[in-house]
Amino acid sequence: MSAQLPAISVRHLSHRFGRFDVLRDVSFDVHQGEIFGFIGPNGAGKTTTIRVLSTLLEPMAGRVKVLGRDVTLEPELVRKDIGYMPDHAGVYDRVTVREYLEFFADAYKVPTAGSSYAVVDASMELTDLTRLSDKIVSTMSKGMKQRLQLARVLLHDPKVLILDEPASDLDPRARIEIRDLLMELRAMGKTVLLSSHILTELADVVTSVAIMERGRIVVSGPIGEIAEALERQRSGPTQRQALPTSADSPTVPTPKEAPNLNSFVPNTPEPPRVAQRSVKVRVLAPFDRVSAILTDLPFVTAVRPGAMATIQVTFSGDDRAVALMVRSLVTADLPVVSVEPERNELERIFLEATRGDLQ
Amino acid sequence: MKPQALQQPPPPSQRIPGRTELGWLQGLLANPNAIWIREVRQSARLDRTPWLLFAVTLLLSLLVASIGGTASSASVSPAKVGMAVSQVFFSLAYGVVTLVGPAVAANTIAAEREGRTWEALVLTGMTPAQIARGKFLSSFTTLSLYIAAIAPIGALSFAFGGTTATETIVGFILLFMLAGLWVAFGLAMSAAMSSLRGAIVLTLILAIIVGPVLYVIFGPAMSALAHEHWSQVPAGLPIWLPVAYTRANFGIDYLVLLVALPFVVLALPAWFLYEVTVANLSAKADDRSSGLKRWFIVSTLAGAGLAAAAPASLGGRGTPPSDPASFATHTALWCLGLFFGFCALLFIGEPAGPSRRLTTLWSKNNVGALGRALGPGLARTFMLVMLLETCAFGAATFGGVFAMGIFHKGSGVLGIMLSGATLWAHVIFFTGLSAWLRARTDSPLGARIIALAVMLALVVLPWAFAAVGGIATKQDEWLALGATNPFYVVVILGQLAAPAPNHFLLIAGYIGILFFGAAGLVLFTLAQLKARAINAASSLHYVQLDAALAAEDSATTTAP
Repeated sequence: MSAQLPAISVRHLSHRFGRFDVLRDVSFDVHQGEIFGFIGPNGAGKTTTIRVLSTLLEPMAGRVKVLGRDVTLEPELVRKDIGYMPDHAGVYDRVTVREYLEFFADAYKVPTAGSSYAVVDASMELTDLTRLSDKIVSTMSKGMKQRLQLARVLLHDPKVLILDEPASDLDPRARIEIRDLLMELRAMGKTVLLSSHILTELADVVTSVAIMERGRIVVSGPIGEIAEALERQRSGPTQRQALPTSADSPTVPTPKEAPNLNSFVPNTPEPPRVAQRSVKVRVLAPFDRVSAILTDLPFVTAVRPGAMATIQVTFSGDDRAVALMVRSLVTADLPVVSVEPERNELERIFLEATRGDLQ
Repeated sequence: MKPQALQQPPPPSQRIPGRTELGWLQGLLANPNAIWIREVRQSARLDRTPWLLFAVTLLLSLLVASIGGTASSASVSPAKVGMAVSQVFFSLAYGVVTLVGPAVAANTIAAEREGRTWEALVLTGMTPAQIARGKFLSSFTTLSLYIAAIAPIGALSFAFGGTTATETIVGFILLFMLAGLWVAFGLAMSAAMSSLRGAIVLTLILAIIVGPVLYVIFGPAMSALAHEHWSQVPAGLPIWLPVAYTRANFGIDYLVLLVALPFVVLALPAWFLYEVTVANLSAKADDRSSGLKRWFIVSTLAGAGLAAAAPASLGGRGTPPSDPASFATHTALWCLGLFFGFCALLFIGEPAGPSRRLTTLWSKNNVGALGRALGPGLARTFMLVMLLETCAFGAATFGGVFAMGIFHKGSGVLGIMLSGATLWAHVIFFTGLSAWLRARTDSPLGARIIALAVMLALVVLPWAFAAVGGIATKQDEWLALGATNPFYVVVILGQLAAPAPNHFLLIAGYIGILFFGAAGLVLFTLAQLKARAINAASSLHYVQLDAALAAEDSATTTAP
């Protein structure tokens, strides 16, 4: 497989249910070996996109390829390359973990040596299910069932994993375990597309994201590039299409019923906005003293006491402003323990890139 | 953790050979259908299974024993008691099969969809046919368990005599075949529905309605006909076929009526249900048509052959139109009409043309013209239906005319020809109407409802107006309004048999034939044009999409 070939390529994808446009000219690429976060509020169109990627839904317009194969034209071949874990997937009653996985190994026609299912053993080991191999699956916890689903999608050794809300309804421990497992899968060379509307679930694992809102991709690409684009936006008047998306493309034909494929990029410039950021500063000094020093700085707009003995500082500017704040405090002989963004990068990107509209 | 273990399948020398390498039966035993094995395992762990089996067996034992006891207390011979016990047992066993089979099968596919396990199953790469076979095998295994549990009760009849071991064994073979048919019915219903409760309730309702009707038709009613042909076969027995196998004289009629006909009666519906199940499990872009069309062609040929042969084989007793040959011809024509009406509604599900996926697959696999003709497509499907309708009605009419020529020197030929033409014209109209409605709407269900409503209106309303007009004016000419429906053939036959036929009514009938035949062809032509336009627009869209994406690729490549 060529290194340049994207693991997933979505081009001008549109779909509608009845009169309702669910997807409008969705375009993005997922590169091989990435953990790609597919983010958006409930109803944004994430699951519909994922169902198209997984060959379960034929799109009305556009083209979707997985490892160079068209999901509409070659679904059988695409299915061999993908492992799809739907959200809230069911499990079979009255079968054990081993029987469940052996069934899917047989269904996938995974080669076996006699009655031995080496792949099942390996899959259970990877997902830490070996000790539960004789447990009836319907009696397992949600977290364990999610692990089992993950073990299932790994049986045929797919190159691309498509996971729809894999950590929904899980307790914090199970979420951490799933996250660690994803990192491990990435280390194995798998490409992972991960959908979620819970940003904290993705923040530590994803390398690239696509943010979806009302059936459109608002922004997509590596997190670093998006953050840089946002920084550039903050420094002056801007338009939303300045963010990296795959929408800047020639006009693509639209079937009569399909929506206008290129209609989503708003062309009217938005009014200039003053970029406001917040950081949480922890200083071993009284609040009043810290506040007095920071409010003297011209770019600081507000200083408030925060939770857990921190101070929330709102300011305009970029990381250089943060550095100046720290220098001012240290110069005043105040011991600075920590400075961290109030929101993580992903949350910041999401909030700045979306309008907060729900469908 | 050893992730790399996932990527190490055993060397080919250690692999279990595939079915093609071993032969079908050996392959089936070596690599049984995964769904079958998994579902049998699940059933074995179901706590209520033994209790259900126990309850059914106990209930059946009590019923059979009490009926046997009641019969034996009367002054009847033990042989008759034995026969009664056997008949009661197999009738009750048929009831068990009719209820349990569809209920178990209806649970399978709909449960996968409702339980959200379906997507995982589909993505394994198992074909719809493999899934259907696995589901069939598992449901059939469960039902077989019920039959096996109640089987010893059937042996009670041996205590009295009156039945032979062969008859009992044949009875069980037929029971297993019927079990297969009912399971196939349940599966077809399950495949068409996404709600588990809906699938079970609807399947059971239909089974409860259809089961007894079939029991009466193929039981006591058919046994009366069998008794007329073979006096050794007692009349009125519900379970007569096993008796007929052992008691009827062996000959051509034995092979045709007791071997070939039951096989066709069981095999064609089973095949249809299988194809419907597979089609409903397939994606819309896949080929959901070829299997159903193959079934349609074979069924039509079988039906047309039977319709053509039946009049001549029944002899020349009586006077037309009340002789057996005329009766058989008219019955065959009506049966063909109902069959084709059903098939027109069935094929309303056809898309305007084959999907892009399918055309790509055809090109890749070098599928020939015949293979493509059997594939999806509104125009090609309804063209085939109309062609076969014409051939079948032609064959049935010819069979009747031929029999009339042999037995009655041509008397009654005109009536048969007009009957054939009238029914053909209305069937062609209904088929053309179905095609046209399908071409105009995205909803097959909507098209079906409208087609049925139009046909119902054409059948009912004219008779209502004719009745009112006829009563008010006391003139028979009002009956001419009925020429809009196929039942007008009764009026035509009546006028032909009358000493002074009303020519106005006959001419109305001729005009009706011409009008509906022509209207059907016109509607089909319009549907064909519409489907062609839809397919052309779709092809153009994909050509433009390809060009635009290629341009986009080229722009991306040349960008600095």
